[in-house]
Amino acid sequence: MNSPTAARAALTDHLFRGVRDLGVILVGRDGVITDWSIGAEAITGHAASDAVGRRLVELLLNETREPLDDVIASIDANGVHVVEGWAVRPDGTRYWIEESWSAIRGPDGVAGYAILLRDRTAEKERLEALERARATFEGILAIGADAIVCIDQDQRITFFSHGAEAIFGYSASEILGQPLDVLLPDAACEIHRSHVHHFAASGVTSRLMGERGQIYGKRKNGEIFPAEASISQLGVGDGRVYTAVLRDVTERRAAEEAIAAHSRELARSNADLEQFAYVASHDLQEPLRMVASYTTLLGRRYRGKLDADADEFIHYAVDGVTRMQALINDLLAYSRVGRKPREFTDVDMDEVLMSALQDLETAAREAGATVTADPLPVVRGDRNQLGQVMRNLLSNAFKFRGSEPPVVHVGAERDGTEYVFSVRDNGIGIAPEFAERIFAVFQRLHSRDEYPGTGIGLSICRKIVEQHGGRIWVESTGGPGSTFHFTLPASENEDR
Amino acid sequence: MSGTPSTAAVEILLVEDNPGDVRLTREALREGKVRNNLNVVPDGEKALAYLRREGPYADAVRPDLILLDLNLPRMSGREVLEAIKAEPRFRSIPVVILTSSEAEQDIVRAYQLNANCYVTKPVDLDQFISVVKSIEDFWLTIVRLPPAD
Repeated sequence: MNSPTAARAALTDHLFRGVRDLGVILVGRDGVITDWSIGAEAITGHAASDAVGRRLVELLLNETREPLDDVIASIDANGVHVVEGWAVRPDGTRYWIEESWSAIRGPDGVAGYAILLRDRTAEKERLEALERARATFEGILAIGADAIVCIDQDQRITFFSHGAEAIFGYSASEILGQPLDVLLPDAACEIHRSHVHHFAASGVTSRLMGERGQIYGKRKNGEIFPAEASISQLGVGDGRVYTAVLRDVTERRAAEEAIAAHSRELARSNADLEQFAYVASHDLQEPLRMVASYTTLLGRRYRGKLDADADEFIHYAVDGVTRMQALINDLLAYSRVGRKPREFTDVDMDEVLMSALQDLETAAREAGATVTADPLPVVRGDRNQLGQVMRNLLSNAFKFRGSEPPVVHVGAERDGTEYVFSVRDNGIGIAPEFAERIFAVFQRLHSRDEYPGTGIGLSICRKIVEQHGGRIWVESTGGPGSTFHFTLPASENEDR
Repeated sequence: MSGTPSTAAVEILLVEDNPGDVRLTREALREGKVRNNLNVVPDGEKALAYLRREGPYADAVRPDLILLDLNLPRMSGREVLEAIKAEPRFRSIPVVILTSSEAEQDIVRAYQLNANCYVTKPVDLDQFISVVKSIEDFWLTIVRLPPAD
């Protein structure tokens, strides 16, 4: 019972009748199947009764299988021959099969072949999933212009993307295995190492780098460049993989600096211009006062005493200088807006309207104006300046009236964090093509004889509103009536 | 007429470098009700020389009122004001700052230096005349000042 022959017979029996996850097949020298184990049945779905007497090519891998002669030649050369591929069971399910062929030698040479069958589907699928993940990953890396660099716990470079090659100027093959330091400016190496250690100790999975200052990279040619980077860490086995995604921001930095320089320059030239307007209008007042005083004196003392020409000349001189005084005064008023530091408080626009109406009482009475208003909100701003806006808009509504007495309505609507105010009148209106122009300094649409004024009022309104962070515009079809809108930020304390 | 020396006329010293303003002030005072003698000096050094009766001003009369411009060549109106208020014998003479400056710091500084009042020259002729007349009216007819020593 315990003889080696008996043991071998028992093993053979076990292989053929007991083992289900390994298939055993014997074929003759002619390739015809003589034995088909229970494992082969389980793996292939073909019963032994179906398989024995046929050839493997009829049952498995019938499309990809090599000719038997080639297989035999391979066994002769290598002792063993492995065939694998996708196979389909009679029930239609797919599986990855691996056949391992070897020769059975008898006293007369090769008697036949033994084939071990394994179902490798799970392994194959794992491999394919891994392959897909790798392809996805590589695809992302190939497209990204950013540098993706992985380092291990010893800060040696283990991965270097195409983007990294482009940015740093190294090829992956020359950089892999090098310390990360080669990619950093000398001054940054030590700091960087300590940051990585802190990061490792932090337990945070990923974070943005350079939150405490600009970070820099070093190219192969030694050039230092500004960069933005994020880093992540993953533990793998005993070690760690750090992945840094790094972007070269040289161009963006340059663009940002150009914009910043430009806006500094703009602010400076604006300030210069304001200063110029202020100084010019202020200093012009002195000589102008002389001209105005003496032409007035001349007119007063000599009108009717010289000839008619002299009277006319004096008249035009006085008229011109009076207008110039008005212009310079208005220019001064315009340039004064915003010269004082802003002192914004909560301003009740109801009070502002009431006070403006009091100031304009005479003008309103003379025009026969009717003014109505919605309840107005509290906004954040400069009370005097907002009063000026309200006065200018109302006095325009009174001034630019049509044949009917002015009917003016002041309203306000909340829009997000701001209020949109409206001053609607039934006056002569404004043609849409002039809707923007009327806000420019000294722009007038009518002759002085029709409607007096220098044309500064709406410019001042716009300057004030814009300094409050708002906008001002007019809606009019050119027909009777126009509506001026302006926005102001709502007061945060409004709902107190 | 004013400008004619008279015992009844009040003495006004105008410190002003702009002849145009001098003439305007003169015109305004001519329409005033008080008989006055307008004496003009074009800068601060001459103003002090006038008060101290130095050099060509040996015969100058002590003014009852000083109208002082701030923007003067060499010695500024502020320095003149400081010098006047530093000398006890001139301290009681009312000094009216009559200037084109509306700057707040000029106004504050002038009062700190004991200016008696600060007036901005109006741009309009009629207002200018009326301001000068008011100054004259207030300081020369309404206000009671200590007698000159």
